[in-house]
Amino acid sequence: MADLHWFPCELHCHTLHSDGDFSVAELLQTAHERLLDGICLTDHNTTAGLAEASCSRAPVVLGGMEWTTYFGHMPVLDCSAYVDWRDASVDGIDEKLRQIHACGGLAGVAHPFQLGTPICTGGYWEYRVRDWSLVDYLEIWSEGSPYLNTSNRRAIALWGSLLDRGYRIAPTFGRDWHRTAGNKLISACTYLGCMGETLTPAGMKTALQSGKTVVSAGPLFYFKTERGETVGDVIPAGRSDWRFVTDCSRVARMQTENTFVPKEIRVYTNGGRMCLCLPAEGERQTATLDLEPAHWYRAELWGETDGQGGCQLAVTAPIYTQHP
Amino acid sequence: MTTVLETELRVLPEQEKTNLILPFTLPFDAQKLQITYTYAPKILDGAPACEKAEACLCRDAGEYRDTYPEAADYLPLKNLITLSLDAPDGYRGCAHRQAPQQIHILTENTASPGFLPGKMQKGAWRLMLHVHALVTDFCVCHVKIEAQEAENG
Ligand SMILES: [Zn+2]
Ligand SMILES: [Zn+2]
Repeated sequence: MADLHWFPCELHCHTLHSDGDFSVAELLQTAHERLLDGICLTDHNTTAGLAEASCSRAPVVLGGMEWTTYFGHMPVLDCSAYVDWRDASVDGIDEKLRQIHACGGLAGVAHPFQLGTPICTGGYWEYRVRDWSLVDYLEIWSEGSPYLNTSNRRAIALWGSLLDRGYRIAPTFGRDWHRTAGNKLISACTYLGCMGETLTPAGMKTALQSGKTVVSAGPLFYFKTERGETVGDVIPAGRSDWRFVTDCSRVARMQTENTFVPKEIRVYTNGGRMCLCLPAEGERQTATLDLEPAHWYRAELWGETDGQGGCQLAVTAPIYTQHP
Repeated sequence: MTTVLETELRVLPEQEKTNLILPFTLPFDAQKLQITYTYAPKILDGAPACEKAEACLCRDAGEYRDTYPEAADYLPLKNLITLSLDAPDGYRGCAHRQAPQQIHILTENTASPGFLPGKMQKGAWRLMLHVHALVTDFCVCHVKIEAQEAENG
């Protein structure tokens, strides 16, 4: 069986087809320079850039459109038919999400706590989602400073509360990439876990659907159980031996000015309770956890960014335990 | 070129977060469609803008207001009224960007950024204006749509 590989991707990009400064070619070139294997093209309310972008191989491109509405921004990926963004209402979003899924699409929530109208029009998420199982992913980190920013902290808290309610939502990073000017932490990305050694748009989609995502300021960080289960999987409760992998090789190859020093590996579970904390030492580490039924467990890498301590460096999607 | 729609709308703050629908008819199959769109004023500055920005900060940042910059840092505020287009056979895209003066040209094989090229059949079309933000007392939008008939149409 093919192995799972982790591919650095940027899931939130704009071009001249909406309000980005990039031509499609410039976006692809810059993504390539930043060692991104895949991007989602998510121009505001249009898929017009996809005709040019879809033949790209490095990076590969998953097509989409950021629904840029009056009550929230919602990236919709790989939807086989146009679903109208223009009549979405605060209490009618579930129906739109069902239509998107009926067309094979995925939907995420972008920057839920961005300031809204008139500063960033519609940027604050006001939709009253009744059934969060209709939301495939949530941008827990937006733009480039994932660890020191009120709106990202609020997004992580929202995500945690949804996990506590039993929803399985993949966390993502979205640079909301419009231009290269002003980019912070250029190595930040979402790592997508896909089978095989070559990333494909279909593989990106499957990774998001199956919760195989790691949000990172740069380093790749994930875990596997002794039985080979990993991020996004549903596993039996009980004793579980985990192997953590911390891999800074992409950051090193990027020659970014940012420095990341891993200090701690933490595992969090329901209620935001930390159930494991060990010093980060080297690329591979092991620990034994006693997993409760019907819980979620996510791993986080903490450490220094540019000499400043107490920073989240990476957050994995959870692994989930079966109900008793 | 035949003018198939020309209209001026005075948009008010109450119309923020609504769509203004402008239906038009293409009397023939077209080889080219040109949309000329302008709106003014674009910006609001000074004390009234500061007040609106502060209200937005208080509403959306809530208890975290103090972690954000001063309201003045968000000025000037901008009106944002974007435009989308529907052909008889479906959605043809949108120009979601700040420019208050825009020209969009569509043909069967090419289209201005944000729009999808394709056949331009005669029949019922629709242009929509999306009032994302209206921060001034009013805003005047001017839309003109011209079409060129296909040669073998
Ligand atoms: Zn957005
Ligand atoms: Zn965006």
